[in-house]
Amino acid sequence: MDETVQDWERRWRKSVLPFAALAALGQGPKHGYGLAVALRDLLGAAAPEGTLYPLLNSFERDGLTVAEWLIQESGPARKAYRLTQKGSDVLQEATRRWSAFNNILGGHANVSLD
Amino acid sequence: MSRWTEIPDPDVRSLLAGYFGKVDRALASLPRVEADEVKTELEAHAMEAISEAGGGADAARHALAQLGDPEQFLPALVADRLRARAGRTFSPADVTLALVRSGASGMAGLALSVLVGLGYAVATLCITLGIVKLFAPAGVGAYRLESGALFIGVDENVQGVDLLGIWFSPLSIAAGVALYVLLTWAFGRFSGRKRVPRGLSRMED
Repeated sequence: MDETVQDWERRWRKSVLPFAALAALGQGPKHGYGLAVALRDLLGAAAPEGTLYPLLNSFERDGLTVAEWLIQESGPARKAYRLTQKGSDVLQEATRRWSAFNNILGGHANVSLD
Repeated sequence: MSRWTEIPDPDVRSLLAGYFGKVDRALASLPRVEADEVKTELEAHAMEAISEAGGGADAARHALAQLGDPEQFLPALVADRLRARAGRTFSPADVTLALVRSGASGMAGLALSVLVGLGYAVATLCITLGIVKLFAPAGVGAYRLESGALFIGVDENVQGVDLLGIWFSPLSIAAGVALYVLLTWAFGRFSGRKRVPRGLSRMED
């Protein structure tokens, strides 16, 4: 049974990657590695970090984030992503729906345990 | 830390050279500027991850494993960018490249490419019929057959009423061009990933 739940949990963590990435960017602008570290804290090693880049590409394309290049004195330039107003609105709405879904599911789970 | 090509440890350099060789190959279909942009971003990620892990070959192996295989995660990004470019330029060359790369990026991309490719085949057929009608008016066009059925196409022996006459030509070409533009516009806006705003708007309250 424990393996079943672990498998479910792995799937949950993978499927919430876009929401989690948006939530992490909601804490402030981040570059790719910084976001990967934040997601590792949130979700564990659910997916290869490289899969973040197609996701960030789609965020940028959908107008949820904007990116700017930061030129460093040493080392490669870094691209930092920050939420746009549209991205913040989507995050806020997703958070509201996530909470509502969690409350409903939690309520059902409690009933079945009684 | 400077760029990876300047790292003194030859083992780390070799690992990174192998990894970024794969990145280069995966990004080869993108315009140079875009490919460089993605590569620079991945280089910065890898360098920071290796540095955080303490440097050295083991740290590099771990960091690159965490980052993932570029041949696995980059095709989706490349296909997405090529589709976006095709949607901006409407160039047949860009559309063809986007169709090919999208088709190679996974099952969803393949299904999309086949579907859109069929649409382009219909658009090409419309334009071709319109052009052929200009040079060989008889037997090409839209006909009401004696049986009452509608026939659109080429048949030298077709028996029926030519419904549009020579107007078939501009109408057919216009329909083909409109279909091409519409398909390319939609193809360029398709994201391999579900779009968050639209996904949310479809959810039930």
